[in-house]
Amino acid sequence: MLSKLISYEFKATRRIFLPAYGVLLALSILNGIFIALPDSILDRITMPFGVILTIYIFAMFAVCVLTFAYMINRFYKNLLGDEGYLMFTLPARPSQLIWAKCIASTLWMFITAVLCCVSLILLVTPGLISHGHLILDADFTNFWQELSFAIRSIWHNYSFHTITLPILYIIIGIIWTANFCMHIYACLSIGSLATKHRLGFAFLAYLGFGIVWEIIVMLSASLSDLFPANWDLATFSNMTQMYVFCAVMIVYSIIKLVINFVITNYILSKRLNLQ
Amino acid sequence: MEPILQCTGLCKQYGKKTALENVTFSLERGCIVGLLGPNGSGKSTLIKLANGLLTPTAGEIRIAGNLPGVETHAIVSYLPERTYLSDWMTADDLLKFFADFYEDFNIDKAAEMLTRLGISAKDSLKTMSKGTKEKIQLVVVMSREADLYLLDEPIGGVDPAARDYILNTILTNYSENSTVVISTHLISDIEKVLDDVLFLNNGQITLHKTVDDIRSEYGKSVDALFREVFAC
Repeated sequence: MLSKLISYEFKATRRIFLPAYGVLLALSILNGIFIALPDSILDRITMPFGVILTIYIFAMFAVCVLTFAYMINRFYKNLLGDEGYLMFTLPARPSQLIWAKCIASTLWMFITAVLCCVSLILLVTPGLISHGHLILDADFTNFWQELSFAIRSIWHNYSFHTITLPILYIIIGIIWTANFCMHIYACLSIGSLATKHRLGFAFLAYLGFGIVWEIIVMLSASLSDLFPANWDLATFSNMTQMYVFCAVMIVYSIIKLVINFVITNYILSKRLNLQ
Repeated sequence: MEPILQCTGLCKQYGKKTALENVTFSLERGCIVGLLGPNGSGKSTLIKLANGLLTPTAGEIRIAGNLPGVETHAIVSYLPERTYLSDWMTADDLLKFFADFYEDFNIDKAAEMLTRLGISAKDSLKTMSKGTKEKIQLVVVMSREADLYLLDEPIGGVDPAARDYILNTILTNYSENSTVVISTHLISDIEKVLDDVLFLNNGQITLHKTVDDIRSEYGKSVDALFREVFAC
């Protein structure tokens, strides 16, 4: 059931995201071509270049805002609005409906982040090549040799950490993003308990969560000062410190994700009131 | 046999306003029941509670012995009083969606009904009128082979010509073992298809009888009795 719901979620959202991504990539390539032009030509087309570059910056901003806004809109409209009459009468548990939304939104956010990086690479690479900052042979022989050398030297210095640490950072990023989505869902669900001004109450819930979390962080900092731990992180090697940091971040994000999920699931399972 | 729908001491409050108060009744399988009452009497609230879209303040509602949940959603076909369709879909997408999620959905029957109504499966729902969307909703809801159909105001928003089609659709698409609950205040239009009647007033059940009993006991039609009971 969850896989069906996720597949439906992608079907419902891809018609918005794919064209937006297409436009962003097309604008990056177009701007990349402009940047690669010799200065003598670029000076004569300052005006159109300025316009295209401004459109590109707006497009990049718009894609990020779209990903964020759509995550909120899908949950609010599809579950808490009129469409909820269909979704909540499907033979699916509320938890499955919530996870389907969370997984789809997290993946779209991840794809948006990756695409923004790709877009920047597409923007600057032609210029770097054209202006001689990046020299590539026609057969790329030197390029691959240099790349291979760079990888070997990094591997020599950091061995398997070259692979494990970036993977851990990506995992942290994904869990953090999922928690961010789930936190918004928890706030929207709390807002849905009100009979009027539901989005306003959701915003208040967001602020309330922020205050409560700050208090918890301050209290735990005070407690750790009162009862200092027996071990000192500075005694560990740099790499071990990195792994400890990653483990703490993963556990911390998972705890927050679970808390937000439990709140959302409780409200949508036990306190649902579609009006 | 276990009742298909059973309410015990069911109460629902919206803040200080009482929508349902101590509602207790049960419905057997194999009948068409009219859930009748004036606007604001609690009909939609009762149906939403049966679908788990609202949470009772007190009491309970059971469908085939189960509280509203995954098991009951699989055997209840619900037509809400509003349009719940996603505008980005085509009619064809909607049929595939129902076929994906409901095992009892008969996609061929639904496609045939759409064709008879002159609705193109390739048309986007966004471009359709409210009345057409309501017909599509009715088609998908009645194309399920469910145990219980809960139809909230199925004829409220359509023209009189379409009402006959809708009632005919309901009559010809439910099996003898199923129960159909039709909520409406347009009684004269549906009286001919009803077996049982529930009168709901100010959140309370005031009458639960068969149509034949009403005619023999009161010597009048359900419509006439309704007008007498709910006279302003």
